[in-house]
Amino acid sequence: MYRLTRHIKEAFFGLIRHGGMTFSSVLAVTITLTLMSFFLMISMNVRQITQSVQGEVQIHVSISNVFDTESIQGLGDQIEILDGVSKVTFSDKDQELDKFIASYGAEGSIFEMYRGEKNPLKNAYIVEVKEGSDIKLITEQIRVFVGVDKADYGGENTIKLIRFMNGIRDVGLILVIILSSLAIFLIANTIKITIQSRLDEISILRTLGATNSFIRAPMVLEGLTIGFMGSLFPIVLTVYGYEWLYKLLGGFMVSELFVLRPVYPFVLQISYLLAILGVVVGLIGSFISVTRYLHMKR
Amino acid sequence: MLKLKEVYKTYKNGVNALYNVNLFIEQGEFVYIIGPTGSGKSTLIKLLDAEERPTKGLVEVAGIDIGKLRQSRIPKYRRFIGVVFQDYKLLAKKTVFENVMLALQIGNMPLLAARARVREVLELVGLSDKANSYPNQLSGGQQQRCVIARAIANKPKLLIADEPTGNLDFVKAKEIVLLLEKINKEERTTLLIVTHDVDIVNTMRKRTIALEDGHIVADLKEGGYHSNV
Repeated sequence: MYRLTRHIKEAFFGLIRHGGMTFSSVLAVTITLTLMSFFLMISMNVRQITQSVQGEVQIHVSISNVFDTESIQGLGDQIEILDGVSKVTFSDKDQELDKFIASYGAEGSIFEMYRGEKNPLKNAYIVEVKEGSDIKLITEQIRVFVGVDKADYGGENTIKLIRFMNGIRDVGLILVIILSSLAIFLIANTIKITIQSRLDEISILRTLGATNSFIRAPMVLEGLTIGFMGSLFPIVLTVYGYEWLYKLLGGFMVSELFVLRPVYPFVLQISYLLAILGVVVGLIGSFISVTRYLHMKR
Repeated sequence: MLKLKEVYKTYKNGVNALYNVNLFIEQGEFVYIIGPTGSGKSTLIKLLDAEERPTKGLVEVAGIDIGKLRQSRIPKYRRFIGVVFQDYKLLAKKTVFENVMLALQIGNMPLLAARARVREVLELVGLSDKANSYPNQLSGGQQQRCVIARAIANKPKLLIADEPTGNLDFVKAKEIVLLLEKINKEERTTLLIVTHDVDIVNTMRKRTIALEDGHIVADLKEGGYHSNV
């Protein structure tokens, strides 16, 4: 236990002793994590918007009138097991008529005469898909099933939008990965420099029989602390900045179709992620450079 | 305690540091190793300290074959031996007490026992009143005492002192050797003093081994050495 206290004490003194280096690496991590927070917020909001737009994209499958209940059920099962299908809902011809009438608003009442036997509409399946970009392929697969009269999906433009947004999300995530690597590199370099100024100390510890983990522990704790300290400013910025932006935009981006993620718990999730990223990046960075040095000597 | 059998050491750059060295030292012995620069003294210490492996031959300390010692076992082995350096190698930002304590922390000794042991060794080397001083507040002799205290804190089986009197005048040097002699007697530690200080070797006579160009050229049980080393 007191060994742990010793490592913590050593790490603390190390941070103070190399104050300049500590400051510059905390700053480097701060900048990296701030950018990361920015991209994360964009990526996750884009994801949310994509999901909500995706929910509106459905395939409408009209079923042939000659199909009996059993065959209809079989077709539903057939559609459900297709790759990429998330939900299949049956809508009988009466429900279809209700929707048709409702879509005309007040003027829809003129179609009331088609209720019952005269209903020209067909039974249908409403198919929802997991990824909007797969909708075209799934529709084509459904079209060839026996008993399918027609299968259509809404809007080529919606799909293009989804593709575009997925692109933004992916770029954002790639940037997050690049920035993490950059932060690891920066911390590794800082620790490497502090190791140079500690070669004497390390060699003394070695002659006294210190294991690599004993030598490494305070330096890794230092890296971890640097990473955590570097995450503090980005966290504050995320919490207050996103709240401010959310209020400023009224919770929407451009139009009401694009709903932003509510402030809570979103900012807290991002904050935890930043703190964890800072700590992990600090840990990995310092571990890499200390281990590299320790392996060079017997 | 210490056994070297047909030991050769050739460095990667082709330098031959030790040739066919045979040496046997009993537990509790006090031995001087003397020789001029380049005679192989430092290589001998590096072999005993497990910093280097012999190219050929057997190096055995307290039954441990250094040549076959696994990398992961080296730290634990080093806690069995103590090393005193000419340039002290004290941590400047730590007090005398903390410097000595460090060796025990590394050995994972419980806190209370460790503190008691630090006080005990500081008493033994005569530095009790300097426990809270920093190395730069001590004289050369006092710093060397602190290093000795640190080296013996873990009750090592073997204590190697590399030029322990190199930076001290004759009076101070003699005090240090007297202290080492006291440790040798009181703690039953085998002592190996590597030096080129012929005055000390001749004043305080102990078994003396002379190295020259990597060979043992003399092993004088009665001590003293008269040569142009």
